[in-house]
Amino acid sequence: MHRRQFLAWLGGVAAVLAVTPAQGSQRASRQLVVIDLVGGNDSLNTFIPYRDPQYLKLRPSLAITDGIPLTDRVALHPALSSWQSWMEEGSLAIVQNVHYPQPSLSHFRSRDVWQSGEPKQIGGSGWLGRYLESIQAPTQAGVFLGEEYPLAMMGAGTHYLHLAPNLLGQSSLRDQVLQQLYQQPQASPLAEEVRRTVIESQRALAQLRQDLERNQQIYPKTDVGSQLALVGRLLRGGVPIVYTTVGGWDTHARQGQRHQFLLSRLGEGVTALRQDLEQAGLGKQVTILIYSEFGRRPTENGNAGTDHGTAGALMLMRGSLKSGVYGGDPALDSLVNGNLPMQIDFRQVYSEILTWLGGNPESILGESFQPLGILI
Amino acid sequence: MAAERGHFWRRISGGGTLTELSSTVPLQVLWESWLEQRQPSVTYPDLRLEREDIPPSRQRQERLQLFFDWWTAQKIKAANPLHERMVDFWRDHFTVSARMGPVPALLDYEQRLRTHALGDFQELLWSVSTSPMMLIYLNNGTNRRGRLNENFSREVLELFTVGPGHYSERDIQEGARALTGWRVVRQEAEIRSEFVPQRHDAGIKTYLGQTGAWRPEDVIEMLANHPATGQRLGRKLWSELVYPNPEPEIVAQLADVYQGSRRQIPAVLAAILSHPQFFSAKAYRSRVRSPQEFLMGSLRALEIGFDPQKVRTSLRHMGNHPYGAATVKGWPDSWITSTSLLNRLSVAQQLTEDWGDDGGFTFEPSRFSQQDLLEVLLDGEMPGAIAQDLPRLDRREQAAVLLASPLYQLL
Repeated sequence: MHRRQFLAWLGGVAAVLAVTPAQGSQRASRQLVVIDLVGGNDSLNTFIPYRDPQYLKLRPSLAITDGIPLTDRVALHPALSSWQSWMEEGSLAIVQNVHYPQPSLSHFRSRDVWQSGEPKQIGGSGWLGRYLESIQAPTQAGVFLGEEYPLAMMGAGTHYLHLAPNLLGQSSLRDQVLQQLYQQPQASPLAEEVRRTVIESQRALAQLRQDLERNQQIYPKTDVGSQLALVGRLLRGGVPIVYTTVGGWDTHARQGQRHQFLLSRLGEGVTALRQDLEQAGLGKQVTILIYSEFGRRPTENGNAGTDHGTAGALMLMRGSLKSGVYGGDPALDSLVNGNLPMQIDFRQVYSEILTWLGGNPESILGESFQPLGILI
Repeated sequence: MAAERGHFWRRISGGGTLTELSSTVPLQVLWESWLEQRQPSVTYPDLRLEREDIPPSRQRQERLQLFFDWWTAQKIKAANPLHERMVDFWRDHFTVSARMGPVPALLDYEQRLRTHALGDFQELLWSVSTSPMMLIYLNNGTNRRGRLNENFSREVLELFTVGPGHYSERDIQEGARALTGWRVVRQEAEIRSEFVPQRHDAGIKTYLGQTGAWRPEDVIEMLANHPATGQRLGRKLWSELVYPNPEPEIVAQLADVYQGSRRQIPAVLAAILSHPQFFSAKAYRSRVRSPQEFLMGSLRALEIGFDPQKVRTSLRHMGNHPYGAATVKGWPDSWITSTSLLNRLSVAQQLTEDWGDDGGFTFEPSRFSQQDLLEVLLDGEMPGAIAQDLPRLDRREQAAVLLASPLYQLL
């Protein structure tokens, strides 16, 4: 992208943000947000099988004993207390034991599988990219908000805009020094071109951030909070698909406090997002999917942490859906190579979402999958 | 002097290590020894899988991973960095795509590039043109008598040899006829190519002004010896190794060397590396690093350990996955794009982070002083704007800042 194209790109961001819901003659009637927890969330300590005696045995130091019971089998991590009533209200479904066949314990491979939706052969496209293509979506119908490779949104054409949230904030000393470095004009014209391209994109993102801070009072003042404020802004603007990543879930050591912190940031942020959507009258037309590339090993490791695992739990939220816990209990007494066996193929969930969006899951996923009946 | 060594190593390998930069061996001694070693020994990966009971599509993924694991390691540890540089050059020149062929064909392609990278251009062109990978990629494997496919015939003229302005549409059609006969044979995991006389159009063709019953090898010979080919290769090599858009005198000089040496690539390289302009101000930092040059160069120069999967992901993230160019034209001319540069800054940070036991990258901060990092990354020069504050950062952060600096993005 040259300078001119870059300005066009910024124009695109502005255009995406400028559309107001009131003028929404063209806006999508159904919208999807995907929140991708990068690193592998420990779902056993998120949705706790609190009645299973195996759980305490496998997690002598990490077991959560003060969870908030949601059903007679599953309790919610206390950091997610703001979600407590959603199950009863009919706006939260939890799908446990979800994964893909022949699992890999690698972050990279697993992320590729989840984002492509093609566990057998990963091509260059993502499940949402293929969806956007199938409906002949315009150029910036989707937004990928994250530092990672946007495989989920990739297709033959470009139907998405890629924004990197880490560039929204410059708080550490390292970032300050980097800023200083980029303030200094470069003698070489080529280096100066590099410098100015970076400065301009950062300035545009900073502007965006200011705009958000002024307008989004309900969101917590955290990284996740401002990121989800941007997600909310995009959804109000009518963007049909927003994919965003939240990092830090790879809790190999001293997991307890860390996981508590991550979940509470996520919990508060998502609560604010849902509140924002309700206020905008979008509560029922936006589905939120929260997932991670794998669950963590049921047996805790020697560093009060957990290692990479396989099947995990994902969450679906929407103003009205068929609440409940799907996918059965985690089979803690019949682990396969120390990990949880999969009960639900992740593509069953994708298929459900694609159908709800009005897409053709069979052509996008290459096979048909049994629906779970959540998004009705 | 520090700047000279730094420049030399950047152009050859994306950057020298601390040891390479502080060595006192004259640079000419180095490159002369590299040019003599035309086929450095390489251990190629074994693509046979331990488990054959997995579905074929999954086998492909595993083989691809084996291939790229090897590829990444090879690029970092290559004993002859100039040979490695030329393999990269030819891989970019003769674009093919990993998406389009089986993995053994991709490995076979790498072997061919590595065998001829420092050899006779005509042999390289022949080897590439008759490789299963190229026969698949540009469809010459299905170009046969009476059922012509002009794809390869066109690109070999336009992109691989003489370039636009030296041929007509008629040459493309006649060339396609002359190039018929080769096909790809697949037998289980093995893949090879063969010439089948019955598929070849043995009639008379007029190609680039010459008339005869031309066969594929005649086309390749005419193209490799065409004066425009020597000029084109000279211009392109100079642009990558010295500075973009060389003066006509330089191009003519290199074309003469090409012709005079009977297409010997090392002769052209020697003319470039010994040219006074090689170390000129015009050459210094005159190119923007491609993402591959950024990442592989940084890994090599700072001797950073890596998880090959993470390297692949990062390259894809920056839009420069090996064998992943979108079209036969290859990679874009400019890498100064907002998303590409912003992604690069976050990779700079990832390269020097502490990943613990989790794969990713392993940078060893204790091996470097602040001055060492400046030597390796910026020819020893402290950028004025951060002279006061850089020392306040720890070694990892210092390395991240320097890797992200505007000047480091240039080669």
